[in-house]
Amino acid sequence: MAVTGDDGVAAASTVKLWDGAVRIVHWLIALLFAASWYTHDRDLQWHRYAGYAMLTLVLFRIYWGFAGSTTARFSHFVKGPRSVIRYARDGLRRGSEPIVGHNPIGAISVLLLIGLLLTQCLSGLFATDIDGLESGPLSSLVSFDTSRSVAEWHGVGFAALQVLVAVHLAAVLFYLIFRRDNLLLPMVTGRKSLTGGGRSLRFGSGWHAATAAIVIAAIVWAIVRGG
Amino acid sequence: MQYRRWMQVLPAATLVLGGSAAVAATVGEVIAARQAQYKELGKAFKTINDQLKSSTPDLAAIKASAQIVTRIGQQQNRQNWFPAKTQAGQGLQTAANAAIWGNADDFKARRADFAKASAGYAAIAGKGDIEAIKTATGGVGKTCKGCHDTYRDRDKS
Repeated sequence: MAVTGDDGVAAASTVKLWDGAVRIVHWLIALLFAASWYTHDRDLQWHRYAGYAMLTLVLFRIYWGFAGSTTARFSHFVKGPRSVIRYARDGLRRGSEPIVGHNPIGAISVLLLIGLLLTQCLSGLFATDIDGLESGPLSSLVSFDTSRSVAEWHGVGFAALQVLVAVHLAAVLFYLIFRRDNLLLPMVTGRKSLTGGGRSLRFGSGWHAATAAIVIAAIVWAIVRGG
Repeated sequence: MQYRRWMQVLPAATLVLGGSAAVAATVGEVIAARQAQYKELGKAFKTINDQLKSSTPDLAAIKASAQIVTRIGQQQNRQNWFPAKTQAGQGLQTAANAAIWGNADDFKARRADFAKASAGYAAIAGKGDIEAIKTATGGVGKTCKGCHDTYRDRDKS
């Protein structure tokens, strides 16, 4: 996994955009979202495991958003309302110059997805099913009624996530068809053909990412065992 | 109590609104009563499962809740909590599936399963062997799920 500062040019004007950590986390989150969906009414033990893994990934992504590669950092892509409006007006047009990294509207989607996924993981920790038979690892800290309310919010959160994921997929399709801008491939390969920009990007090291991920996983494990 | 109050206003309501309104009130009471029982059951199971997960389980709490499980397990078999016209639809706040009345014999057998599985449960909990309680809880829980998968509409209370 080449996450280290290789800013280089493999082919003409192709630059590295997303580091390995961002890509792996992205696809694992997608996989775990599907797994959580599939297991929620079939196997609650695996649903819990998927949740713990998801919580680890989301917390890591938040950490990486402050300490990781340039394109992973919130400070790089989260913009104020004026930039969002400007991008909605000018940036979505066909033939307009692609933005290096997340665009201002995509940034909102990233924040909402991360925020909702985090909320979803946390509510799952305290939720109980209607029979009191299956529950999150911290549900013993709250009453049955509270735990049931949390479970209902867990359901609402999932519905909201489904909407967000649908919007996310629609946006990728919109860029592909309308703007002829393939967002999917760079999220796989990490590289994107850009006419300008991208040369000044810095990338965090794989060791840094791996260490952070292990520490966060250990913290999550301690939390779920504490219940 | 709610039920008594209904009994007091019932004759007047029958005169004013006719028979159907009186029946609707009774149906609502039946549903509320059985839901209260199942909720108590859910609460008891949560208490037990919380304690079983704990490194220092509270045996007194487990015993008290296990008695609730055994009591309700027998009651739901002896009494009929699902009289006709108390199923979902018709604007009623219930998750009781119409299959309860469609497969009445199977539903009855499931109720008997739960009664049988829960009959000795309080006694097992009383002995205080955590591993034995875990196994027994799994066994009783299975009979809950076995019935709910078929006869309870999902995501409703």
